[in-house]
Amino acid sequence: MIKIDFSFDTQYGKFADAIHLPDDHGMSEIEIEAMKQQRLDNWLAIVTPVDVYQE
Amino acid sequence: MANRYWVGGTGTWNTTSTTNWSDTSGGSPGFSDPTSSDSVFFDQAGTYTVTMTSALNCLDITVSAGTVTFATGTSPTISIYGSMSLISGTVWSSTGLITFRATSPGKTITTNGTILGANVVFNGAGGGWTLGSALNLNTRSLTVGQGVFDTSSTGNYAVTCGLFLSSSSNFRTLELNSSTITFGVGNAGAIFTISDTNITFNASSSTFTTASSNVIAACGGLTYGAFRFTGGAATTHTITGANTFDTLSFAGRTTIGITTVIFDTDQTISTLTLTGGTASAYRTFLRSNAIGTTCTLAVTTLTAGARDYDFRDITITGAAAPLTGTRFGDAKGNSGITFPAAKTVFYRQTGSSTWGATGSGSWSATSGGALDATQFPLAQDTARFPATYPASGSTTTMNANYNIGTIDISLRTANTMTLAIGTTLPSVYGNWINGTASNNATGTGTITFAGRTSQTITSVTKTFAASFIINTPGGSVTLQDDFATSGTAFTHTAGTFDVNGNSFAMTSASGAFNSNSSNTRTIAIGSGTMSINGSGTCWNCSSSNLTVTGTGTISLYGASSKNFAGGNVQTYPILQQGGAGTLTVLGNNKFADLVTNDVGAIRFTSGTTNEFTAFTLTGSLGNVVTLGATTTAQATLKKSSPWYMGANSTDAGNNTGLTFTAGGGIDYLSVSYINGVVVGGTLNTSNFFAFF
Repeated sequence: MIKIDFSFDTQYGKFADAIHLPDDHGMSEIEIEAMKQQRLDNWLAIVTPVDVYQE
Repeated sequence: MANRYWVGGTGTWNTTSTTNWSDTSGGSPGFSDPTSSDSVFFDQAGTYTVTMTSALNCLDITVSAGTVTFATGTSPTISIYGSMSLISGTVWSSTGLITFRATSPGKTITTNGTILGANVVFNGAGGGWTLGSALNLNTRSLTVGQGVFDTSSTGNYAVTCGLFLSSSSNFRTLELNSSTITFGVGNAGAIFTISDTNITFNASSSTFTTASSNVIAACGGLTYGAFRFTGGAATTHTITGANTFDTLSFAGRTTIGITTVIFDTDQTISTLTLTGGTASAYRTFLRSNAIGTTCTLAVTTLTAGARDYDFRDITITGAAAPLTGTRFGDAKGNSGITFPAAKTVFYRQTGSSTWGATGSGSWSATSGGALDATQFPLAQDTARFPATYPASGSTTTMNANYNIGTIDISLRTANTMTLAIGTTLPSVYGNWINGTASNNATGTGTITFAGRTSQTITSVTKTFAASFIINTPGGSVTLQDDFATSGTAFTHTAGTFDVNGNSFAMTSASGAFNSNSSNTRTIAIGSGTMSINGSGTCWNCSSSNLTVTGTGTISLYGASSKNFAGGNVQTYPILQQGGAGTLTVLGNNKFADLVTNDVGAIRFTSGTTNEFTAFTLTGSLGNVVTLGATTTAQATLKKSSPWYMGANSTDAGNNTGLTFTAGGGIDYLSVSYINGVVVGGTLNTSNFFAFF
């Protein structure tokens, strides 16, 4: 297995994660970057405030 | 110790079936279910679902191939005594509790982008778990009960959860490194609870962030890196514990209203960030947890641009003092903060609108001047309604729990208007002055008078519909004329409430006057009358630090049974039974007199003693008033003259110390279970001879 650490600085703080892949994963750099972005997008979808309260 | 390999694709993981377990990778099934000593492997290609049922155990759990969904079966839980490693693409939708129970260090948790749909607990004495990737529980809780939870000093992996909890008394360590801990996802209330008992908490470089609209952050008096409240529509945040924050920040509101932030004790903050909201009516209110109790924030730096915050009972110390920003509202009890000078602003909406508004707002710097977004009335200001704005017949709606200085509607002498409180909870730090053409009758919210000096209420015969709280430590609220409310509660928490010789009326059949805190407070009735049309305990006082003065009358006139809980006060003026419902007096009190203007019965709690300077209770022919105790045990009544109960009164039995002859202005009573006692030496003798 190989581990690829990555992080993004966002307005909600730093998102740090790691992608663990088999040694023979065969993924391209573009595909790996897309995985990172997907991880970030998934996190942002959860942590982004949703205004549900109106006075 | 053995290894168990999942084979056969979709199936059920329970504690009995051997259908899907092999002892070799891809081998034949039929092997026993894993125990806490057995590591489990999901290493077969393909897409399949593992349905988790009952209380499962394993040592390590490793998913290294395929696309596996762990789904919820019947009452699933899983105890993992080793590590977890999931390949990217794994789905963990099982909602059964996941408990990591290792009792030795060196375990790893690598979820690799998988969101765990279950609550997760780390609970193993001597156990140690280090993240190998970000840990995302979405709305589920993360609890560290015992052991060492480490987000990785090299990876600083993010943690995301609904609740972040570690409040056991077991020894535990949270090594949170420079990670971002996002909590409160999909949750509100007590979503962050850390206790300082037996904890090693290393989070001085971490970032904690929540977008929840209502956070009780029990921070345990510990040291934090950044702690950020990012929700733009929050109602209330509470921070408990004497904590140290490298950064404490609050987002400005993105919806109109006011967010309250409550500190229960002092805080140390290196950088305080008070971000303003969309406009000046989008406010945030920093306060202590009790009016009159100061909370100190030691602040090194205030981030530039702070605006539209209110403060109450907040002391700022440190290099950032005095705290200076834009449109800071002084809701009293503050120090170390620079507030703008008090000013008068003028309502400028032409028709029905709201108190706080977006865009140009609702207020102007001059009467009839242009709307000005910067002129929202602050807690130290006077908010005045000109004679012609809004137009006659308009309604101004209080649309948030704003902190307000003085409300002056006195110019509305011809053009009518309504100030609608709705269900809001505004606080007033100055005076309330009605106009003869104003109508603030609508709205059943609660108006709190919370100043620290002298405040007044001028009603000009307008009846309120709101409930009231008088909470003015060291201050007073004085009625300038007769006052009436149809609100259900008038709560006197601190300070002086001065009826000032006027009429005070609570007209609701469920209204109640309460003064039962332990704060220093005075009810000054003067020669006025406090009339309460309530049922149940509609006078509810505690003598603790309460002074009652005046010569007027307290009249409980409800048609239903009602209680006067006097709280053992010895200085009550006249108590009047003013309605048909039985009046029950609780406690051991002293009154100037007891009177009635109706035929409702009057009862004293059995076993209590109440004293009267005068006792002129009397019924009339055909309207005999019942006087007695609450049970078949006597209540004692004292006065300084003999208890002549009147020639037309009836001894209904079980009385002592009473004589049913004329005298003392008492007559037309039906009396039972009363012990009449005469106080004073010579009068006691008289009393003795009167009955024996």
